[in-house]
Amino acid sequence: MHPYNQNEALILKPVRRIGMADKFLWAFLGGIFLVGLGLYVRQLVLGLGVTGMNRPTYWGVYITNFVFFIGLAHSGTFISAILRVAGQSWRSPLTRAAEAITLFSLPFGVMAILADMGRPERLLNILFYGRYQSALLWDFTAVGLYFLSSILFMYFSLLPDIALMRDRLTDIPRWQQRMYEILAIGWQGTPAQFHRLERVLDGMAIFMTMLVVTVHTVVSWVFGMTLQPGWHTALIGPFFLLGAILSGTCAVVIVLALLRKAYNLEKVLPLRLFNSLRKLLITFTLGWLYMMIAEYLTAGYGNMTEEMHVINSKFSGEYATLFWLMWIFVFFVPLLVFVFKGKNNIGWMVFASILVNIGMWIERFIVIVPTEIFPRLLHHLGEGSYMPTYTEIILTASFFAGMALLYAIFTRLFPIVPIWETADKSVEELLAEGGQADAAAGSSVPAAAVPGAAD
Amino acid sequence: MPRWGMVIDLDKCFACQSCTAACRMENNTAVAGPDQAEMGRAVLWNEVLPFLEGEYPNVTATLVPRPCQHCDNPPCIKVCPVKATFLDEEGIVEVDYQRCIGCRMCTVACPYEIRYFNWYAPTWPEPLTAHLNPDTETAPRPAGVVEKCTFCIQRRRKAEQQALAEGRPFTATDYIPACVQTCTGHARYFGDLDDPNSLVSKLAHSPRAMRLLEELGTQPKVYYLKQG
Amino acid sequence: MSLTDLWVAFYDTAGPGGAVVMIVLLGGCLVYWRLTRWIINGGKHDRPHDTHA
Repeated sequence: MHPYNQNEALILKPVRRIGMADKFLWAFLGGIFLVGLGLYVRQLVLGLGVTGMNRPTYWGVYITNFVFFIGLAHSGTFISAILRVAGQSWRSPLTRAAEAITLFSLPFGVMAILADMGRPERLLNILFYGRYQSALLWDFTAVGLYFLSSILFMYFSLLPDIALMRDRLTDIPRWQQRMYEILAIGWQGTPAQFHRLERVLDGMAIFMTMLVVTVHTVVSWVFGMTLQPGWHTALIGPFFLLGAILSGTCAVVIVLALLRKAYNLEKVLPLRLFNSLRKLLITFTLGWLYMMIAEYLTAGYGNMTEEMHVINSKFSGEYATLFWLMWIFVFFVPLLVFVFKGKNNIGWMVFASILVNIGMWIERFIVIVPTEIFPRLLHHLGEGSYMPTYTEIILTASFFAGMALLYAIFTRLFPIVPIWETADKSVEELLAEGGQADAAAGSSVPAAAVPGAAD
Repeated sequence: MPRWGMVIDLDKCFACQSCTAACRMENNTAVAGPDQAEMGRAVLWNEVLPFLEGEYPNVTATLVPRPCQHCDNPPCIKVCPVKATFLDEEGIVEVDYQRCIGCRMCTVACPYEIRYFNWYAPTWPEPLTAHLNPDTETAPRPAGVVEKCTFCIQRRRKAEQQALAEGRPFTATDYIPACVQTCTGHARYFGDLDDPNSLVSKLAHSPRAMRLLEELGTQPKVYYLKQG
Repeated sequence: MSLTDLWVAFYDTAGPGGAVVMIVLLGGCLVYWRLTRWIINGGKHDRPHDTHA
């Protein structure tokens, strides 16, 4: 049984055809990704020397990308898991779009790490000789578990809709039909199945919430567990976590606006979603301010020599331009926009969200590089500089292109708004009615909602 | 088991940098070339660091030769995900070039910046290729792995084998690293810190003795005798 | 052995890190496999007397 959703045809429309525009988009994105891949192969052959990294800047753009993409992934889990636990039912239309961001940003976070390894063919050494004393092993475990869980969380939420497509979509290519049949694994939509599904999603939402907190904290501990000034701070876990949730939620805003426009989903992704996200974003932006003040006031007040070299370079030295640009992009402009211009205005919300994400990328860079440039023993020598090369820049572009490509393909294969979760009556109500209602609704679907008729 | 340590007398060192050169010849470190060195990719297992204070003409210069400090509480080995770097029983922090995955976590963890990474496969200008140390333990490292001063561990192995061949016990005075051997000013000493009668042990307890970044608790085994 | 010695000894051994990673990830796979089966099997094995509510 499929819960009746009056917008079913509208939501399914993008899935029904792949047009020339799609093929051009995919070719374009795929092309960028392939260029990146080619440059990576060149890097494999020649060595990491093709990047701008050096001593003391051993970690640069690749690690920045790793942190950034893992941070983006927190968007999905925040919307679908944390808000679910908090009982915020307004989030229902957003959940799949947000989870898809998670699903498709994590692989590129991992790819960024692989790109950064000196001997990537020895990756399995981590399994054969792994030391749990190392923060990198915690990373491996946490991110691995997060990725696995995100795939399953997405899959479980997708199940009823896959079954819906299996049953409703008859005029799609055979391979696509077969794919839905297989992926639906015999889902029939019986009350007992829905009941169990809801319970599993509730449980997983709690687990994913804990995982989200763990993952980004553990990512930050790769830096926090060293003794380097600027990194070795107890605040680094919460700092990274909040940054991830901020950039992730902004990514959701951007993606939502794109989907609305591209697939005419204004009816199912209404303006009030943006208003709800706006309130959250104001909170998170202010939270970011809190973290920044807590970190820099504490370190600056202490006035320890090594810390001050790093802080001064950010506030007024080599990295001042980037540092203050970050403040403008992450805080000053977006906060003003969110508060004064964002209400009922998607354009401004998207503008501010894009700024935030650019600023957050800069923030990750600002956390990583200045500390390396001013190592304890060498800072006085004024050594250390880092200029990323075109290899790093193009690889970064290819990560974004790859993520966009996977996302775009996903939206053509699966409904980006969950049909069963935004049904006219929620699953809880239907289960309470004993499953009678959806059986009746299933047999009295208005003609307009029948696939093929509305096209 | 000896606990290998080094003492460098800053009064005797006049920063000729023969130690740096000798180390390179002994350990086959790659020549980065002027462009790569400009970028900060020179590989100098032993480096002489100038610490300058004040403005001309009232400048105080302290010139500090800096090998790997072979800490007893090394921050670098803690963070290695695959135990490619580890503290051996005699106190030397080693690197297993076959196992290193090139993640460079150890390089960022070391507060002394003594670790180096092979950004490219090592090369040498023509005349130098004839002077590479043929010892297999100092074979050139491939691109993508971390390397650093090993207190010339290959010399320790050779000395141990020599002692075995000659049927006598191996003693701590049987081997010294290349930098100690070459030092023009006889400023460097090497030996067993755990032997109260060894020179390094006595010097390490001298009132002039100090260590770099001591407050971090890394317990480096390279002691410096302060100037003056 | 002092606490410092213990701490140093802990940090110097190669832990069974890879095994832990595999246990966590394979354990996760196992849990999710069982959960999937549990969801899909909802209501399939009702005993006869359950249908007479």
